[in-house]
Order: sequence, then C-alpha cells, then structure tokens
Amino acid sequence: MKTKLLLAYGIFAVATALMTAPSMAQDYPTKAVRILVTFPPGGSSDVVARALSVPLQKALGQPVVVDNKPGAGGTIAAGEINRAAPDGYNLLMSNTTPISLAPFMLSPQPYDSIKGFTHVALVATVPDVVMVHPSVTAKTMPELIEWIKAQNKKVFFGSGGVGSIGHILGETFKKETGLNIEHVGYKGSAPMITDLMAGRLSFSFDTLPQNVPHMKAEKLRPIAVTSRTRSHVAPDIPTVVEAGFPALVSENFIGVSAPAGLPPAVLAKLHAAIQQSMDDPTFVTRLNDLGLTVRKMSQPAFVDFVQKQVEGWVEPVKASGAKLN
Amino acid sequence: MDVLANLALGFQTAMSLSNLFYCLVGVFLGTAVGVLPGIGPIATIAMLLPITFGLPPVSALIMLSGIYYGAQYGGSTTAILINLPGESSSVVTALDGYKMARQGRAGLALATAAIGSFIAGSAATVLVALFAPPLAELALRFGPAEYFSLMVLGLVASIVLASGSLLHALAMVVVGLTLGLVGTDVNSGVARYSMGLPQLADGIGFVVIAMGMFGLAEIIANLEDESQRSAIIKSVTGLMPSREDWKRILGPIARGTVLGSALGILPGGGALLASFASYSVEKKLSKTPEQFGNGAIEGVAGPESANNAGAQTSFIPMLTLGIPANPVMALMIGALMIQGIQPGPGIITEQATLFWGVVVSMWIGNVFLLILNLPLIGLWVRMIAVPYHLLFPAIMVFCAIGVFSLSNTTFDVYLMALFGLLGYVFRKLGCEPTPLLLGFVLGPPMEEFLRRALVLSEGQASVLVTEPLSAGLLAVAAVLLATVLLPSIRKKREETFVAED
Repeated sequence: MKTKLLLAYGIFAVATALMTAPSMAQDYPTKAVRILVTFPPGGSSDVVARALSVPLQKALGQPVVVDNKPGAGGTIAAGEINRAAPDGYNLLMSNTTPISLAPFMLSPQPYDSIKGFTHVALVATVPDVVMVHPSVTAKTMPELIEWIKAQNKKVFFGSGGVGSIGHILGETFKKETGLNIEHVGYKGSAPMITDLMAGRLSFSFDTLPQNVPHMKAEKLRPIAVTSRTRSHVAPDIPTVVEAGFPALVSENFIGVSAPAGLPPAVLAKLHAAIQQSMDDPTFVTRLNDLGLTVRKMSQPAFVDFVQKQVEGWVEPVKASGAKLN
Repeated sequence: MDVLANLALGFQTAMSLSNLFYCLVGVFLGTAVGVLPGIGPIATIAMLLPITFGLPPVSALIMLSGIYYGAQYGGSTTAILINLPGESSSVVTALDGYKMARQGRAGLALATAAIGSFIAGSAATVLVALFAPPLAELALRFGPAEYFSLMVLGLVASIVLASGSLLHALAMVVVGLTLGLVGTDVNSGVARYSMGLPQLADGIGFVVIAMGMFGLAEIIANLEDESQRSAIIKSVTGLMPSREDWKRILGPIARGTVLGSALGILPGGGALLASFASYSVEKKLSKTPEQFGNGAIEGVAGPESANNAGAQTSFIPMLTLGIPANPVMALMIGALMIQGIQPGPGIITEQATLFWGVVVSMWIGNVFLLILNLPLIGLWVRMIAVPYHLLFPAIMVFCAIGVFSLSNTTFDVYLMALFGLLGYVFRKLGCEPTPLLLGFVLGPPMEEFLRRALVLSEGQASVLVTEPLSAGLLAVAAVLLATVLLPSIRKKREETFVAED
C-alpha cells in the first residue's frame, strides 16, 4: 500500500513537473520579469536597467520591472538572485562591484560569482579615469609619479569608498610604484570630487563620464583612462596602456545575470531579447550619452569575460586589505 | 540687466503650457508622496525616470524638481497631524506642530507651514537666480574641518531643542550617536555592530528609526486611552492665521529663510541642519521659550521656512558644479545625463534655457503648492477626526509600505517595529526621541568629517582651530554651550520644566 501510494505521488510529481516545466521554458515569459539593481536609484547600473527595460519589454512581450535593493556593496541583491529560482523571472543587473569585488571582501564569501549565476549578456562597459587637481603640474602618468616624488611628503588620493574600483586601482598604483600616497575614503563619488576640486586631495580614480564636465571646465585635469582603448566620451585622454601601466586596466561592466541553472531555452530567449534591445537606436544613444560603451558579446564569451574579471581582481582586492565585515 | 534678460528667458520657458503642466504634475505628486509616510521622493523619481526619457530635458527636470520640493512641503503634513516625520527635516516640525494639532490648532499649524514654506521658497529662488555661481564657490571652501565644526555646533544646538530634562536630552543624544555607529566604517571598510547581518552593513535607515520612534510609539501610546485622544482633537478652531499670529510668525519665517538658504548651499549635509538650527534660534530669541515644545507657532514657522529654503538652495551645487547634495539630486543628474546633458560648471551658459527655466519653475511651483495646499488643509484636518481604531491601522500599513520601499526588504519593517517598542519605553521613561534622532543624523557625518580632517592633516588636531571658518564655528558652539550650562540659566530652565509638568 505504502509503496503504491508513494508511486502515485511520484507519478503525480513527475506529471506536474512535465506539465509545467516545458511550458515554462517554451512560453517564457508568461508574466512580468524583474530586474534587481544592486545600487540605489541614480547610479549607472540603475539608469542602464531603466533604459534597458523599455526596449526589453517590447522584445519579451511582458512588463519588465526594475527594483533597487542596495546594500553591502551590492551583495544583498546579488545574493538574492543567487538564491532565487532559475526561471528567468528574477534577473540581476550585474556589475563589477557585487561580482568581482565585494564578495571577496566578505567572510564567508556570500556566493560563487561565476558558478552561482547564469551570466546572460554583457550590456556595456565604462572606464575609470585618473585625474588631478589643476594645481598638480603633471599632465601624464610619468609626470604624475615625478610630481608625487618631488613633494617629499605624503600625497592623498580619493575614491568613492573603501573597496570601490577607484580604491583598488589606487592601491594597485601604490604597489606598482612604491610611492608615498594614502587613500582617503568617501561615501560615494560626489563628496570626493568636491574635495578634489577644492584641492584637498591631489588625485583620484573615479568613473569617467560624470567627471567629463569638470574636465571641460578645467576644474580637474585628466591623466589617463583605465580602458584598453580610448573612450568615445573623451577621445583626447590616453589610456593607461599607452602610458605604460597595463596593471591599471579595469573594464567595469554592466550586464544581465540570472540564477545558476537557467534552462537553456530561457537563456537563449533572454539573450536574444537583450541583444535585440541593444540594437534599439534610442537605447544606444542614451548609453552613449551616459558615457557608457554598448558592447555585444555572445553568451559563452560573456561568461568567459566575467571569469577573467573575477580572476583579475582577486589579487588586488586581497592586497588592498579592504574588508566589508 | 543680464539677470533680467535671463529671468525673461526663464519665464518664457517655464510658462509654456506643457512646462506649466509638468510643474503642476511634479508638485502634485510631490505633495502626495510627502503626505504618505515613508514613501519618499527618491522612490517616486526612480519610478518616473523612464517617463522622463521621452520628455524635453527642461520639462523632465522641472517635473522632477517639483516632486522634490513638493515632498518637502507634504512631509510636514503628517508630522503635524499624526506626529510622523517622514524626513529628517520634518522631525522638528513635529515637535510643536503636533502639539498644536492636539490643541485643536491643526489647521493653523498647517497653514503656517504652507505660508512659511511659500515665502521661504520664493525668497530662496531669487537667491538662486541672483547668486548661484559665486555661492557655488563658497561650497568648495567647506572642507572636512569646517563641516565637523558645523556638526558640533548642530549637536550643541540640539540640546537647546529639548524641552524636558537636560540629562535625559544628553542621554538620548548619546544613544542616537551610538546607533549611528552601526554600519561600514568609511575609512577602513570594517563593518561595525552589524552583528553579521548584511542588511546592517550600510547602517540603520533614518526613516526606519523615525517611523518607529515617532509613528509607532505614538500609536501605542494613543491606544492606551482612546477616549482621551478624541476629547483633545474634538474642537478645531480657525484655519487661517489671525493678525496676532502673523505678527508672531513673520520674524521666524524671515530668519528661517536666511538660515535655510545659507545651510542649503553646503552639499556636505548643511541642509539637514537647517530646520534644527532655525528651531534653536527661535527658542533662544523667544520671550516665552517655555511655550516651545507645547505648541509654539514660531516652532512651526521657522523650521518649515528654513527647510524649504534649504531645499531650493541645495540645487545650487548641483546646477553649478554638478555635485549632488543628496540622493534625489544624484537621481536628477542621472536623468539629465541620459538626455545627453552633463551638469557641471558650464551648464549655466551652455544650457541657459534649462538653468533659468528650472529656476523660474521653482517659483511657479511654490505658487502651485500654496494654491494646492491651502484648500487641502480643511480636508487634512478632518482626517484626524476619523475614529482612531480606523485611522491607526491605515497609518501602520502606510508606514510598513514606506519603510519596505526604501530598499525592498522586510528586514527594515521588523527593525521599525523594534524601534517602535523602544520608542514607547523611552516615552514612558520621559525621554524625548528628538535629541536621539539628531544625534543619529549628525553623529555619522561628524565622525566621518573629523577622521577625514585628521587623515588629511596627518593627525594634527590643531587643524580644527587653525582654519578660520572652523574656528569661528567652534567658538559659536562654545558660547552656546556655555549659555546652556551656566547655572543660573539652567536653573531657570528646569523651573520652567517643572512648571510645565
């Protein structure tokens, strides 16, 4: 009796699974898709998510809802997607901080940045920029190093916060050159830029786009961008590779990721829908206006890209000594 | 001459039918989210961001700005009616505004807040139009040492705020400072007192504490004896200020406007001091300081004006330097960038239509707010006549939704409940929550600025007194502290307290 009952349950379970599972994959999406943003409204990844949601709704034929769940370097939102059901209705606006940096500053590490997700598609990349207060006479990286040496005292650099890309880049720069420089942490870029413009800091590493107006107004002077190729936003600024500091290359990315184990049919459909959205001319213009570079990549290539990113950051993060708990 | 031509351009832009419409939509939505406890302008603006993509940049910014200062306006409504401040700026309004409401003068308190906000908003708009570029330079003069000293002054002023026992007020400030320690340390990145909970890694949210300590604690206290409450609210007298009232509020409004405008320019958190500072000044200047905390109309007029003036002038660093003074401004910069406009030092000349259009729209928006809000007062006042057993569940639901919407997590809702209980206990012990909130608001930036000042000076604490601005602020704080602690004054102060009791 007992076995029969169990068998019946088993058949029932398999039958329901058969009934629902394939329909889910093939008909996806049948309801609203949610994209979780790891930062508060207003940041680059938030604006990208909201801009992407417009063409993506058309491509998927279902509403796309953008939610913000900030906190702990984005690991709260990423952790939630890591634990969510891999049904394609819970997506993450993944980016460098919660994937490549923050989880390695937490112990225990909250999730596996590579195996813990299905990385669906790359959307855009954005470089950092090395910039100085106008009173610093240097115009190139070698001149900056000379200038710092000539000060014969500690020189301060700022970043948007401990464990931010700018902080890690600064610590890498310190390690590479052995200069007498010290990091000053802030809560976000805005107050840091204020102190840099006032000359209380000498130089800093920060995301390029929002600083372009300050450079145009000559309140700040750019030294180099941290991408491999020059940025379309400010093509006059040389790259760190040109300046001879390939170790400072950092391609901050913004992409879409889902929980691990996303069914292949859903993955294919989602990837195609995102690619299609990225062809939308208004979307491209908007991202270009934000100073981001729209970048298409096949799904396997994106997984590879994320893996290289994570591996590349592990050492500098450790060396920086930054911890989040 | 130049200013006149610019203002003409601004009026031309802002008075276009579509821009008037977006301005109205903005201030209306702002008032609505301001009135709903906990739901702030950030969530609203974030949700509306995709809509602005399709609008001309001027219209988009006019609407978003309207939401921002409209919310400042609306926030005072719940503070006055149900003792529920949704933002740090309306904490002070709740002090005397709620007392006024309990005395049946809710309409007068709301009208005073609306009129004060209108006058302050209009005056601050003129200030933005005339002096925005030079004032922006002033913002850069404020370094970590100056901000630290400003916060010290604010903290000392907070003791003046308390109407009860001095010892209790000091203790509550310390509790607030301690709560402010929770979260990631800005200098080292080490998490402090987060008990391993990632939700605490960024600290406790202001709204969570305010909703709990004020809103929920008030509800629990009210439920002790409902009959008593209904009796107090029964009679609602005159809505509009009388000639006598006007005499009392004009001075506070003028001083609040000046204070708020000045503090609003500082992007490093000056605006949050505006209403606190104004309240302290009015209490110090008043011939009847014992009325403060017991429904003094000056205690509503001054802070409300200061807070609105500060909201207007906090646009200066954003519009002239591209530096956002708060998260709402950061969101607006995002909205502009997506339209291909990068706010920065060049914006006034490169985007003259945008700059002047938005500045003029702020004044128009303030007119809209006055027209919108004065007739609504009658409606709001009737709201508190709703039987409490129907009203309080609604308030609780709105609080929970508002707190949840902050970062989409139920953790904050539970935390709010915890602070509600704590607030009730403090209430029973005769400890006011306002000094606690002030300590909580001022503590973290104070520590951050002090440590940054010390890092940059390589450990030389003397930097706090060698910088003239910083030294001046500390001197004012010292004088203020002396007047609070001087025995004769303290005695008088405690006598008043006993008399009130």
